[in-house]
Parts: sequence; C-alpha cells; structure tokens
Amino acid sequence: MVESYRAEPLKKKKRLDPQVIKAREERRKKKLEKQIRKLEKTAKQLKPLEELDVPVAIVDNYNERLRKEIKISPEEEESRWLLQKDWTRYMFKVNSAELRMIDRILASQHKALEELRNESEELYQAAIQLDFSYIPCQIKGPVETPPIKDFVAAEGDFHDISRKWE
Amino acid sequence: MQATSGIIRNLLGRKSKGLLTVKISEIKALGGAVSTSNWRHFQSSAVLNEGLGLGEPTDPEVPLYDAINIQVKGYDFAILEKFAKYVHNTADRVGLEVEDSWGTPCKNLKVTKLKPESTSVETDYLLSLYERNVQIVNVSASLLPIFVNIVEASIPAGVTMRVHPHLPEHTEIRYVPDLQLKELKTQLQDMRDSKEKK
Repeated sequence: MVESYRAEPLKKKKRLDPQVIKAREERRKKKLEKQIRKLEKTAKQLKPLEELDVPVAIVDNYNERLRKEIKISPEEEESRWLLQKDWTRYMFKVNSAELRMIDRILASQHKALEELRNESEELYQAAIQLDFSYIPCQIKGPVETPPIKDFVAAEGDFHDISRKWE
Repeated sequence: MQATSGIIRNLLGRKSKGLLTVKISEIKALGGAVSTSNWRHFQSSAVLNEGLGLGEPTDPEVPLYDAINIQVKGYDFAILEKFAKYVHNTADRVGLEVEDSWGTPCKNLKVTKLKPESTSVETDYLLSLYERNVQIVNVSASLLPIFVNIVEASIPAGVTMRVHPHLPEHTEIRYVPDLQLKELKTQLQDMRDSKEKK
C-alpha cells in the first residue's frame, strides 16, 4: 500500500517465447549431463584401509627405528635353516593330507551323484539345483570355553565411531 | 581319479634321507598343461586332472552360481588375515575360480560398559572390526557346500564368516562416494521432476 515516490516505474516483464524457455532448459540439462559423464569417467577412489596404513609418527622417526644388521654365528644360522626345513616338511605333510581329504570328499560325492542318477533321474536333477536357502549363511568360529553357568552379561552399548564418508 | 591321485602318492613316496624332494619337472613332463602359476601351491587331483585332461569329466549340466562373496570379519587382525589367506588358497586348491579378493575399511567401535543398574559409564573400550572378502565365480551347485564345509572346519576362534551372493552394494561400499557427482545428479533429477510436474 505504501508507494515510494522516488522509485522508478517497474519495468514491464517481457513475455519470453515458450520455445526460448524450453531451449534454455535443454541447454542447462545438456550441460549437467556432460559434467556428470565427465565425472563418471574418472576412476573412483578406493577407501583407504586403516590397518594397512603406516602411522605418520612411525614414518617420521623411521631412521631411529631402523635396526642395524646383526651377525649370527654359522652354527646358529645352520640350526635356523634346519628348523626351517623341519617346518616345511611338517607343513607339506599337513597340506598334502588336506589335499587327500579334498580328493576323497570330491570322489565320494561324484560317486554318490552317479549312483543317484542311476537310481532316478528326477532326484538327481533335484539334488543338483542351485540352493538359495543354503546361502546366505553365517558361520561363527568356535569358542574357547563352554557356556558359563549363570553368567550375567554387563550392560553397555556399542557406538559406531568409524569414519563416515558422506 | 585313480590315475592322478597316483601322482600325489608318488610325490609322497619319494623320501630321501629326511628331505622330501618334489620334482617339478616330473609333473610338467606329464602333461605340460600345468602352468607355472598353478604350481604356486599344491592342488587337488581334481584340478590337476582338469589341467591334464584326464579323469572323469565333470557334468556340464550342473548349474553354476554367479558370483559368491565369502566375507570374514573379526576383531583380531592377524588371525583374520591368515584365515582370509587360507580361504583364498583353499578355493584355489579345490578348483574354484577366485575372481577377486579385497578388504573393506574396518568399523571402529566404542564399547561402553555401564555400572550395574545405572547409566554411568564404568569403562569404555575401543575395538575395531576388520573385514576381508574373497569372491569366487562359476561355482557348481554341488561343489559349494563342500567348499563351505572344508573352510568351516578350520575357522579360528573369534572370526565370523558369511557366504552370500555378490550384490552391487558390496562394491559400492569399497569406493569413496563422489559428492560432486551426487550433487549434479540430484540437480538433474530436480530439473526432470519439475518438468514432469508442468
């Protein structure tokens, strides 16, 4: 209601052609799409793994931490080599025992499937199907002790303070 | 199967004065198809069979799973990494095709222990839950349960393992989200929405 007396008269708004408006919108859209395509082409960066990064403090005093070469007597060196050989021999036995076990399992499965096939084709086909009730599955490692009787767990919370990347 | 488990029996039978010498040249001479990369670790005779073209042929009609991720998580990093390495190696020995293996950033947890019957904090601990993944491709339906059982038999204490099919969000988590890209995309979406409204 209050009119200012020294103001310029308001300019008349030019009626833009709807085509011009459309053209402008299209141009803006194309520009955006081009920028998006450019950014998408550049390779994404992998998140760094904390456990594999060397802490900066350690990198700084690297020279202090560097150890000098120790001289070992030839008997000591030889006994170390022999120990290494013993360990290699032992691990070889363990690994080949495991391989034999894998062989046995695969062979028996193969035989069982063959027999099943001879028995009935239907059951064989059903046995072979992809089973999505089996995966996803979760397996927990064994525990050190059996469950403690009348154990009262402490109350508390887990707060997730890991770095957020949003 | 019998012909080539004989290979392994021969290898083990060779015992010279305390040292087990395995002649790589022997295996190579047998078929020449065992490439040096396969020899990095021993493999079951099923795998050797494939390389040499011997043994019973595997049924081509058995359906294959696409991509399966084996995700191992644990609080103790040294044990976890050894186990992830074991999973990878076992997958190779059993004859599965390992496409990729990666690590996801750890979750840092602040665990607060409250005093009994109150909300005041008694102690708090900082724990980190580390994670490693191994991806296997083209697993036959009959082979997967065997593999999972073998790995399950030697899972160490304190480690949890999940076997699930691969989803796009599993790769998404590994990468730093590009904020600029996100902004531009939301802008574009807004423009499109306003156009539709008109």
